Amino acid sequence: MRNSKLYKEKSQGVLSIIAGLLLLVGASALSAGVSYSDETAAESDSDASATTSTVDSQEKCTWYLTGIQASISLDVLSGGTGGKYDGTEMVLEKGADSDLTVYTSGNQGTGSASANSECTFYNGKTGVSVSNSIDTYTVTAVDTLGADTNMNYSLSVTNPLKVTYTETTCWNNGNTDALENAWTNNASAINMYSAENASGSVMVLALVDTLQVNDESVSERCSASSVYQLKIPAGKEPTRPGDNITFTGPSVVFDVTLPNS
Amino acid sequence: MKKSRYVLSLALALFIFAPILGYKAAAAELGIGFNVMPTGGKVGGNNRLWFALSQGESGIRQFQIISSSDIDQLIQITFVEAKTVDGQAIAGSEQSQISSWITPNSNNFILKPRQSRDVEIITKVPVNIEDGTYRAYLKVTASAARPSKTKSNVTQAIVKNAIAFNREVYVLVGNAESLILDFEVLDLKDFTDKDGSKHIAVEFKNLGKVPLGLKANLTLLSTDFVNLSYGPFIAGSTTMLEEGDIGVADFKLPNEVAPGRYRILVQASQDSVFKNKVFEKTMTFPELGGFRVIIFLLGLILLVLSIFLLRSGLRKIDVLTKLKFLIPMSLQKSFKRDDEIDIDKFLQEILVKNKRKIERAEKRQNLTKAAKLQKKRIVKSKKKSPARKQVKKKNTKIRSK
Repeated sequence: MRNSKLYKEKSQGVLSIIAGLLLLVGASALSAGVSYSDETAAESDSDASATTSTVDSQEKCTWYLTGIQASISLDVLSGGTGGKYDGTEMVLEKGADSDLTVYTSGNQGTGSASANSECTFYNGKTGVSVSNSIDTYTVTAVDTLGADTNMNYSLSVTNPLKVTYTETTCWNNGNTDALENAWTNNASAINMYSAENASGSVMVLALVDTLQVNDESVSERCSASSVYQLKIPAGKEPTRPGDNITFTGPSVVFDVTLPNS
Repeated sequence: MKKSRYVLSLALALFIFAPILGYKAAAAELGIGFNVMPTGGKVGGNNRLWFALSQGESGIRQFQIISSSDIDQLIQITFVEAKTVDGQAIAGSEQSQISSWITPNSNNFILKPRQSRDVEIITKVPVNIEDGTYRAYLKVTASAARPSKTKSNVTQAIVKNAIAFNREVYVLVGNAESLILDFEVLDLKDFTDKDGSKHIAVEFKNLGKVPLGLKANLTLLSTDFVNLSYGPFIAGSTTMLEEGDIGVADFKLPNEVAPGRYRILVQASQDSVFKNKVFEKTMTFPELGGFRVIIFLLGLILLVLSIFLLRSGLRKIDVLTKLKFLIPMSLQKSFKRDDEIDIDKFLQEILVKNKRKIERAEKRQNLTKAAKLQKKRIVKSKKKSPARKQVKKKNTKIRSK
C-alpha cells in the first residue's frame, strides 16, 4: 500500500516537472511571438512640408499587354465533309500566332517585354491581373452574298467559346516560375457562353516584388500561348447551300486591372 | 558587276515591299500600356482616379495610353459600373450612373503605332446630387482600327480580340467640412512570413473624411550599433481607407536586416499632408503562426494539471471525478467505477474474499479426506468376508461342466 502511494507521488512529481518545463518553453515562445508589444520607448509626431527639386526623373514603370492578335481565324478541326458544313457538328480551332505577354517597362513606351526600359514604380507598386470576357453570346454567319441567319446560333454550355492557355515563361524579380511562383496562371480552359459564364482569369500577379526595374533581369513579366475553339452545332441548314460561310463569334476582351496601386 | 546589280535589285524590292510585308506581319497584334498621372488636390497625390468635390465643382485627372503595337489601334473610353464580387470591386459591363458627369477630352481616336496619348477626364458634379461616394470604372479599350481580311473559300470562324485597361474611379461628393484629410500612424509589428521573408507592418488610421491611399516609407536605425541603418523602404500604397478605417502598409525587408533594437522612422503622406513617427522597439521578427502559442498553452494546461494532482493528495485517485467536466459522458461512464476506488477498502474486500475462498477450500479438502477413509474401510471389510469366496468358487465349477 505504501509502495503504491510512493509511486503515485513520484509520477505526479515527474508530471509537474514536465509541465513546468513545457511552460518555460511555451512562455519563451510566446514572448517571442508577441515581441511587438514591447512598448514604444520614444514616439514623436510631427507634420512636415513637401519639398521639391529639379532633377532628371526616371520613367515610371507601366504595365503593358501585348501579343494579342486583333482577330483570329479558326479553321476546321473536325466534323463536316472536306472542310464543309454538312449538318453535323463541326469544331473550329486555332492557336494564336503570338503569345500574349504582360510586362513592366518605362512609360515612354520604348521598351519591350525582353528589353524593358529602366523605370521605377515610385510610390505606387502595383500588381496586375489579366482576364477574358465577352459581352455577346451569339455567333453570326455570313456567306458570300450576305447574312445567313439560318446558321446563326447561341453559345451554350455544350458549345461555348473556349480559350485554353498554356504558360510560356513567367518572371518575378528576375526569377522564372521554376524558382519563384508569384504568378497565378489559369490551368484550365475558359468556357464563355452566357452572362453568368462570360469571363475567366488568365494570369495574376498580386504585387510586384521590386520597386526599381533596371533591366529585364529584374522585370516582372508573364507570357502564355492560347488556343481558341468554337463548335458549330449540328442540325443547321444554310440559306444558300454550297456557299462558303464565315462565322463571327463574340469579341474576346483582355481585361487588365491594376490592384493595390 | 552582275552580283552587285542582283543585290541592288533585291534591296530595292525589299524596300518597296517591306512596308506591306511588315504591315501584314504586325497586323495581328494589339498592345497598349496605361498610366494614371499623379496630381494634387484634396485626395490627389496618388495614382488612383479619386476626386473629392462639392456639388457644382469640377475636377480634372489625367491618364496616359501608350501603344506597344505596330498597328493603328482604335481607343474607346467608357465609364462602367463598379460591381462587388466576393468582396472585391470589379468592372461591370453596364454604363455607370456617373458617366454623365465625367467626360474625357478625347475619345474614339486612333492611337498610332508606338505613340502615346495623354487624356484628361473632367468630372463635374451636378448641383442637385446628394453627398456621398460614387464609384465607377474607367475602361480604356484598344481594338484594331481596320478590320482584317478573311479567307473566303472555306468554312471558318472569326474571333476578334480587344484589350481593356480598367481603373476604379472614386468620386467623393460633399462640402469642405466633409473633405478633411487627416490620418495617424498607430503602431508597427514585425514578423517573418511563411517564405522566411522579414516584414514590418505599419498601422494607420484615417482620422479625416476623405479616403486614404497613403504612400509610406520606413527607415531602421540600430540603437546597438551607431552606423547600422537600413532603408528607406517603400511600401505599396495602403488599401483604400475610408473614414475611421485602420489599415496596414506592409514593408518587406531584405534578409540582411538582423534582429535587434531599432529606432524606426515611419513617414507617410497623402497630397500635402505628411506625418512622421519614430518608434523604438526590439525587432525579433517572430514567425507567423500559432505553433509556439500552442506549446505555451499546452505547458500551461499541464502545469495546472500537475498542481491539481499534487493538491488532490495521495488519499484518493479522484482526479478524473473532479475533472469529469473535461471528459465526454460516454467516457465518464467507463471511468466511474475506477476513479472512486478507495485502495484500503478495496484491498480489505479482496482479503475478506480470499479468506472465505480459503475457508471453503479447506472445508472441501476435509470432506474429501473423510470420504477416502470410509472407502478404504469398506474395501478392507470386503476382502475379509468367506461367504463371498464360496459363491465365487461355485460359479467357476458350473462353467467348466
